[in-house]
Amino acid sequence: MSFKIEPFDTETAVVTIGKTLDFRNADDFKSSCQQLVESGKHNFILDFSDTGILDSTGLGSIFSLYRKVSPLNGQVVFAAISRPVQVVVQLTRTYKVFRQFPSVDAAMQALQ
Amino acid sequence: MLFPKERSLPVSVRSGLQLIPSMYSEMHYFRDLETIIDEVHGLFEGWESNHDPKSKFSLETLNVAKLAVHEWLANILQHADFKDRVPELGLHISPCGERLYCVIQDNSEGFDVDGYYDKHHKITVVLPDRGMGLLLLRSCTEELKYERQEGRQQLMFYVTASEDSYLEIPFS
Repeated sequence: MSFKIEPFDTETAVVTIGKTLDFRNADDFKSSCQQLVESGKHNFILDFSDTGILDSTGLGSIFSLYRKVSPLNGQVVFAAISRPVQVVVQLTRTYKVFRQFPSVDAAMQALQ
Repeated sequence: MLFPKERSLPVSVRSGLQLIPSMYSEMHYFRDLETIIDEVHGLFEGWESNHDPKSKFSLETLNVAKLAVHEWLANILQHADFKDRVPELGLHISPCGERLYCVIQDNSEGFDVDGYYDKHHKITVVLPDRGMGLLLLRSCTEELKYERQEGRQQLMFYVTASEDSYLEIPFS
C-alpha cells in the first residue's frame, strides 16, 4: 500500500497515490476509499506527483470510487499528474471524466 | 533451463546490489515473481533518467512501453500457470526508429491470447473495475504477436506514443 489519505475538510480527502496504484494495491485503495465515503467524504483529490505506474486495475479502482461518489454529487479529480499517469489518461481518454489540476492546492481551491 | 545460466538473474538478484540500468538491446532475466514488477520499473526508471534527448523515440514512448510491459507482467503474475517449474521471465527492449521493440518471454503454460481477443473486442461495461488490461495492451501497441518458441512463451510488440491510439471505455 503506497498511498496515503489525509482529510482536507468534512467533505474532501486528499489521497497521495505514491509510487504505484496497480493490481497489487488496488483492492486496498478501494476499501480505504469506501470507508471514507461511508464517513461522509465525497470529494477526492488524487495526488499523482510521485506516481510511476497507474495500471488498468488501478484505474478500475478509481472508476469504482467515481461510481460511489457521483450519485452523491461528489467529485474525483486528478492533481499533479506525472508523465506515466498522463500516458494512461491519454490512452484511456479519462480526462473526459476526471478534471485535472496542476497541483493539489489548485484542486483544493477549485473544490471549495 | 530456458535461459542462459550466466545471464539467468538480474544484477540485483545475483549480488544484492542496486540494479544498475543496462544498455538497451540485451535480454534481462528474472525469476522472483515477488520482485519482478519493482525490478522492471527500476530498469525503466534508469532508462528514463538516461534518456538521450537526441533519441528518435520520446520519453512518452518509453512510458507507453513501461505500461504495456507492466500490463503483460500483471497478467502473468495473476493468471500464469508455471506447473512445477521455477518461473523464468526475460525482457528485451530495443529502439527501432521512433518506436521501441519489446519482447517478453516466460516459461509458463501460456495463454490463448488470440482466443481472448477474438471474444473481447471492446469494453462493454460502464467504468469497469477490471478486465481492461489486455485490451489496453492491444490499444497501446502495434504488431502485437504471441507465440511459443523453443519451449518458451513470447510476446512481441512495438510501441510509440501516438494521440491516435486509445482504449474506448464507456463512461456513461
